[in-house]
Amino acid sequence: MDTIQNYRCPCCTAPLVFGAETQTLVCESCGNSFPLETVQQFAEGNEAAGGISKYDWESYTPRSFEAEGELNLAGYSCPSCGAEISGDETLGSTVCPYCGQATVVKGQFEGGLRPDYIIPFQVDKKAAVAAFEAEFKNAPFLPDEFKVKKKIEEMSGVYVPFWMFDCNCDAAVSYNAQRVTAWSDANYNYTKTDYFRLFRAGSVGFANIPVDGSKKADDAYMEAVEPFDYSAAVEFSPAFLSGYLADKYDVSAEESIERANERVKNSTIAAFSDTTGCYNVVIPESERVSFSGGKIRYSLLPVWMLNIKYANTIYKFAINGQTGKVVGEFPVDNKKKWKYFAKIAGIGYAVAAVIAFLLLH
Amino acid sequence: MKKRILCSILLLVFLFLQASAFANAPITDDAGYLMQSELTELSEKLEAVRSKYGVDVVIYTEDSYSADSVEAAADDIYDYQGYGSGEKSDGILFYICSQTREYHFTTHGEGEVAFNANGLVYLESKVLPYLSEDDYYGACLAYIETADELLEMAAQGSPYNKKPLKTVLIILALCLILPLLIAFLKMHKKLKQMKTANANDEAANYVTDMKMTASRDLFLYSHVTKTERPKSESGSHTSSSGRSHGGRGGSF
Repeated sequence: MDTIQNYRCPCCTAPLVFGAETQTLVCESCGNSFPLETVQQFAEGNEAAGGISKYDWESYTPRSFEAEGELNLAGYSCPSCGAEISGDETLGSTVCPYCGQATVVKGQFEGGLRPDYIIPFQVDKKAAVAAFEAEFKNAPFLPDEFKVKKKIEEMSGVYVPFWMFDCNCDAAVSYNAQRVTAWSDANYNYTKTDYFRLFRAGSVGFANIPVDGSKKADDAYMEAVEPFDYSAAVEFSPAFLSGYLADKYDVSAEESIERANERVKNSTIAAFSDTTGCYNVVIPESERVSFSGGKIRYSLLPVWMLNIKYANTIYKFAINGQTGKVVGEFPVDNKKKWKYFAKIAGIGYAVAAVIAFLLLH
Repeated sequence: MKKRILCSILLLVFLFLQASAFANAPITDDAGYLMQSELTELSEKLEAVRSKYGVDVVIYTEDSYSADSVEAAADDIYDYQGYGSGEKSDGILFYICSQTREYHFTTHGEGEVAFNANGLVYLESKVLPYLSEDDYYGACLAYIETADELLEMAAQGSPYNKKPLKTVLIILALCLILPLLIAFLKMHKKLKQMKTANANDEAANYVTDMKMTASRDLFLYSHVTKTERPKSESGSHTSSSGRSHGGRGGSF
């Protein structure tokens, strides 16, 4: 026996009834009427985009170094922030690259897990410092003194552990959209808002979405320093670690999945949003993302960590060891900041005075 | 005796010329707001003003209008009943409709100069308090006195040009606040450049391919909002006769 399909009003969600006179589905609550085909398509689209998302990643089985006996590294720990990093046995005294507060203490290297891939450093220390100094021109309120009095407290090339996520997902997204038109006659101004429901479905492939696997590395810094060019990634070899520090992951793949899912979902919605250009307002209503067999890999990515001391404060910067992209937080010269404010306000007042004069006379 | 006859003829000619300058009576009270004595007194005052400046200054009341708006009603009366003085039909007409309780000042020719947008705001501020209290005689008197005042200023070569206090205050407030706001926003934008270590919630850099399998835009419904245009029509407009009019009006 067929079941009776109850349709609800796309405008106010009240039940719709079939109007014999108009041959449309009518909402007695808000007074709108809809062609049957529109309501059916609306319900189908909602069903497609409204299901539960399914993020199915393959489980990751870590491989350890000890089993292969291939690595000759020492473990170092920071007595201040607790960071545990590894490096050459011959590594001299070095300040913790993450907190910049204390000298790391050499200890027994243990618990390291073998990464799958590594992107070797392509920007050397000199080039990284040059990139950092070149960034000054993009920092408008940087104190002039900073350029000469800054002290590079510590600069370390660190291979930061990242989980890399690959997936090819099927997605369906629905959006509420509005198109606004306005006109006037002799007596009234009119604003007409047309309401639409947009449905987009398709597949989106993602490769190498990185999620920081180190608790000590600031997630915001690590995401800001992206992107990395993964075509340069190679099979991990301990030889690449020579002369650099390497962190080992302390955020498991399972713990990182949530962040990967979030980025997959946001990017899918954004990718489909690019196809909704002819509306004034587009708001995502619901999304369903599903994939299975998503792959996870463990990689080490090159980042220069800079700790700059200026006016008794440590300023942290990270430089992409592959592209030279610099991220961080520069000190702000309040005098410069308010000078700029006063300059713009002054120009604004001069223009405002002219406009006021013209309007009032 | 000859002198008397000559004077009488000249007076008649003068009166004829006056009458021909203003084709219509200065006041038409079809709404019946005014008593005969009031009508007579107002007519004399209006005659005096329009004769003094050569600009038609009239009052017209009626019960209802058939035009689309009170503005159109006032303009049509002015245009089709032949109000105005001289080649350019200079003048101002104060129109009141009793049923809808609307009023409108319509101006034309030199009337648009003497009773410019600011002048009409001033005129309205003098007349409206009386209309609101249904004191039509008081409103008409205020209209005549203010029209005289404004026409005198125009005759002196400097038509009234004082912005309403509200407009002045708004302009001054905007001029004081906007530069600060713009400066703050621009400073804030620059300040954001000082911190580049920001989380990235998307992974658009890692999209390898995208294939759309369905793309459907469903129109659901429309909503139209209608808001009355501000009554403070300050710029000139074109009436149904194709002539340019200034004007201002509203409800009381």
